[in-house]
Amino acid sequence: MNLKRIWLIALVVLALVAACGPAITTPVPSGQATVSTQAPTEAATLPTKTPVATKSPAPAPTQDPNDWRTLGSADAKITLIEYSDFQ
Amino acid sequence: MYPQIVKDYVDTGKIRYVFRNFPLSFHQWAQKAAEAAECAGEQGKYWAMHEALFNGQDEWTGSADAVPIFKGMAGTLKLDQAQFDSCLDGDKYAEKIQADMQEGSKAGVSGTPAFSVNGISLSGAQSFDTFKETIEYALAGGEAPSLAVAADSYRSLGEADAPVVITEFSDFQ
Repeated sequence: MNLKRIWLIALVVLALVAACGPAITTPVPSGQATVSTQAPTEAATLPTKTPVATKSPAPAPTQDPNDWRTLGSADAKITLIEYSDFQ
Repeated sequence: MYPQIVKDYVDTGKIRYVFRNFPLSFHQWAQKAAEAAECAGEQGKYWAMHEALFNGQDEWTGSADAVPIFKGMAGTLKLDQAQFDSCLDGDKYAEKIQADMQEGSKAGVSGTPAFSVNGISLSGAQSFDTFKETIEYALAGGEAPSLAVAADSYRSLGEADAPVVITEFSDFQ
């Protein structure tokens, strides 16, 4: 009976030690290279200025660079369009 | 007419003059002439070809094949001949001209020449005085007139509140 008790106590102690011990890690072979799949990140920088919304200027009248059939200022108040053929 | 408009109104910054192609189907060489002008345009000589085509109408309008004449004009204007010939033979600007036609049709154009001065339509060849009067009217803030049709007129057909009104100005002869 004493021997059985001793074994039981020994098992309990071993179980407690196992539960409180360090985790078992799988060793990585020392010769195996590991490659990071993430690009190195730069240290985050804090913005030095608060962004300010700016109002864009009104778009200037666009003049198609391939439209060589126009004479005069794009800003002219009047546009005269002629629809014609050459014959 | 055109040089006077350019001198008095374009060169003084008062108006912008825009030419759009509207080659009529029964004008045999009008489409190809428009293409020739565009091909000259890509070499910076649109208005020179524009002038040459109008001034040389007698030479090419009745021709059995006007294309060689257009190519000759390109040579006279010192254009890159190979580039011009390739452009013209390849119908490079045919679609652009068709787009002009569609734009004109939407604007109500059915014959040539037709003009629009800030939306005020002028159909047919006009004197410089007519252009001057119209341009001055637009410069003074005038807008295209809208027609008021009397609902009880015995010369009207259809509902008075119809969304579209067709007005015919005509005589009986």
